[in-house]
Amino acid sequence: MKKILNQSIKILLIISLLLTSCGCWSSRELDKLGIVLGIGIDKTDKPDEIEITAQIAKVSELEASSQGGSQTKAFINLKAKGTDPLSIFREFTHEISRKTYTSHNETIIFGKDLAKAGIHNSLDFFLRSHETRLTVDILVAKGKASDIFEVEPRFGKLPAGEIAQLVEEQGNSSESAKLTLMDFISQFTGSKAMVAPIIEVREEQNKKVAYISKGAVFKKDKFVGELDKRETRGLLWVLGNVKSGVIMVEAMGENAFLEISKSKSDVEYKIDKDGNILFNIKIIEKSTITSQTGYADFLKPENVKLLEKSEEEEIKKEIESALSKARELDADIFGFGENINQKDNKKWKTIKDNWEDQFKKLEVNVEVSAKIVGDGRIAKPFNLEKEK
Amino acid sequence: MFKFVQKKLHFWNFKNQHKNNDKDSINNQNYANYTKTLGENIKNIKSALGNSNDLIVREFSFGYKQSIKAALIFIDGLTNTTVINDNIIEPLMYGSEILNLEQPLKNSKIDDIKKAMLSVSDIRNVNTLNDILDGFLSGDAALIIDGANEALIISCKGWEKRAVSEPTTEAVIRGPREAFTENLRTSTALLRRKIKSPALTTEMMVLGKKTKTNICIAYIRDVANKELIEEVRKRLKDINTDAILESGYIEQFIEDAPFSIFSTMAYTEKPDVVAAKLLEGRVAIIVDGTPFVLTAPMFFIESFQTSEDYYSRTYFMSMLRIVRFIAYFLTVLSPALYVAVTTFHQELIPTSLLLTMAAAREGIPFPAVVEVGIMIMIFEILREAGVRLPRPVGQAISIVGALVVGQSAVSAGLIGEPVVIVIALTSVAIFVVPNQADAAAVMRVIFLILAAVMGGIGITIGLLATLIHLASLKSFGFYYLSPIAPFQIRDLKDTIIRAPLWTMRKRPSGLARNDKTRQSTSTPKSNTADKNKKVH
Repeated sequence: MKKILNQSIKILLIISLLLTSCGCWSSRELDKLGIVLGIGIDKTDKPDEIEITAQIAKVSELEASSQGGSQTKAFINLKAKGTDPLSIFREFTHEISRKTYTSHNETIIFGKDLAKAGIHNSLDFFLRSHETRLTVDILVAKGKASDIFEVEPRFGKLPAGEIAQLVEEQGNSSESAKLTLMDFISQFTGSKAMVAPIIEVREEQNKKVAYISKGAVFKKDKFVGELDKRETRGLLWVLGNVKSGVIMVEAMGENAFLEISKSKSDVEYKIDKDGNILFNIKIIEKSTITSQTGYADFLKPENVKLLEKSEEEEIKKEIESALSKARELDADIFGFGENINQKDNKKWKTIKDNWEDQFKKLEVNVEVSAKIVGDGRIAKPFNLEKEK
Repeated sequence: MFKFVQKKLHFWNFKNQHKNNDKDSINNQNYANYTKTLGENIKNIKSALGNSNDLIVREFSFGYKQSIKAALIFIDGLTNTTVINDNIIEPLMYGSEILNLEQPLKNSKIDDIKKAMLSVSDIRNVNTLNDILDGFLSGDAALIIDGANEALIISCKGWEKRAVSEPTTEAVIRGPREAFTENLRTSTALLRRKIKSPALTTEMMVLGKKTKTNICIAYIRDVANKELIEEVRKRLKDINTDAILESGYIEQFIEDAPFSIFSTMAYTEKPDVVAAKLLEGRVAIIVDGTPFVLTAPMFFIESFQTSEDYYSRTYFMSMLRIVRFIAYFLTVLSPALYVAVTTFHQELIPTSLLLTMAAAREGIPFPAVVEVGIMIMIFEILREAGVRLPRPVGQAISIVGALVVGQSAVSAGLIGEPVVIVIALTSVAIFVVPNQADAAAVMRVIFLILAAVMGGIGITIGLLATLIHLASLKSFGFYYLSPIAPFQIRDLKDTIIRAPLWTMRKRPSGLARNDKTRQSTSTPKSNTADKNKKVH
């Protein structure tokens, strides 16, 4: 009996210790959270100082929107200066009654000035903290990052959420690269240059709206130059990331618009007889005709062949424009260096140190095979009667 | 820890048994012995019943020149008066002269009366006062004849009883609509009508020192495991109590794990369910006075099986099985998951949902766990009131319940909308698995506390502890989680999904020891052959 009593006391002790000591240390009620949806980081006048803009959802206003009438904004943009992000986030506690919560942050926008100076120092926090996500999108603002969060959202009430959605939907045109924090850090130590979307603000009917304009090339952690939309797609072809989008091609003196439905890229690393490094890029693409402007009958096989030929040329041009831009910027955005590293590690070790010189004189052959697999809902052009 | 509880339980059982044995001798009153004198016997019987006025003693004389005095003793209301008048008193009074009965009566003459005069189906000879009392108190008539050293207990039971009606707790769309009644004989008859095999055996037993409740153990002799029958018999015999008012009494006295949240015996009020379970090799315990029949052993999986699973076709029923499992997890875990996710793991909620949920929580004065706790409490109150309340006020309560809880609590800012959804889901889902409803209601609260203290880790700990506990449970020597643990691949046909009946060729392994085969063919070959035949 005494033994049983002792045992039960022990068990009760264990349970009570378990329940009290592991504690509610990380338990937080939803209404005590300041949910951060977007973070903007800018450079200040002082060296080594950054300014962080955090967009925090004002959830009570969000709910009011369904009832209509309220004109107040559903977000708060907090700003503070400091040397590292955590101390700035703690600075926010003096301003708002809720603890900032960054797990749901979807975008980090860097101001152009900071991006040019290097973003390494501010990124460390986002990798180390347990509360931030690696899937967060990295963007570069044309001007100051803090301005981006002031824009009027076209849908809904939260600019930051909309920007994240905007980046997500870029795949429809394949003219803008997407860069997540995870991609950034996984490539950071390598030789590959990263491309992040550039976001800009413009006035539209007295309202500020945000849009994605170009691609920002990062060499290591520094912003070195821009890619326009055409060049960006040229890059995406090589990376095999073009899943959709429209190409205008010319054949028989008329324009046709093709929608890309599939693309595959194959980057082949080779060394020729003289010991020069050679890359063969092979693109296989499939598309459908979505519209045409003239009278030509693109249903005829010989005409389709012409279209395909012209499409191949167009894609090749896009890739070459990206290639020349990359050479101009000295940035290996295609990841050729990594390719060599993976396939021929020994060779890579010998050329690693002067890779920039090597990259400039790298010989790259582009081969495109395009195929038109569909012609839409109507077979013949809408205005075929006026045939020439 | 469970072992510890088990040990403790055994200790208590042991102690209680000793106590009961001591009381035994006090409780068993020794009545006066049966004598040959009629008057004395009547006096003893009357005093044993404390002169209750529902005792009827009909004294009369019969035989040659009405020389033999006798008394017919029965309880008013428990007997069939027509039988007493036409089949007992009338033949004795008018026909006894042909037997040349005279005083003093020889013992063989009693047998003559029994054999040749009383036109009643069941008559027993008894010679102790205790047996006479037992006889007429259970609805028979006792014929005491002056000078004889034996009395006759003549079966003439007949009392008000409820007709066989539809089951109130287990409704079905497809399947038989009859339920057991409070009358033991009706129940056994219903069972007998389902299984006409001579192997269906019913063993009678009387339990309860005061209530003397009739209890019937039913099983199919050539299917059920002999050790199981012996175990049930032994446990029933070990019951030492003065009252058995419902089968729940028996369950609590003989179940394997009295301290467990989970019940290790199943109950049902449908004869087809009991028949199916007997055919799987189980044993049923039918208790007089209740329509609920116990079956043992019980597996955890049985709670998710309904009779309709086997009556309807396999695809939809297999889907329903899966739905039932989901519903069970929802009802046990959803309040806990809600609390864990909103207070510990906000990163798991999709951003837009998080914003809506945060907006709903805006201005709520309590922490999420208190909020959920209040709602669970309110639901349990409403449910309990719904069961107990008199029918005419039912509507008022349901309106107040729905309006106050659903609407006003939200608009008054006491409770957030998501919590209302969580609790509504929880309380509806519990009725998908009615057999586990009691356990689920308790588990839900335990998981809620674990989640409030430790979040997702707490829920994981709770789930693991439950799993270990379930795996350690046994019901009458059979593992509770069977056939999942111990794993029996053959029996999985009737777990998460319900395979077609013709694939279940064998009865559940382990349960049936003797006649293991249900049907010999595994596919309905004759049907496919017919289909291929061309019909002109």
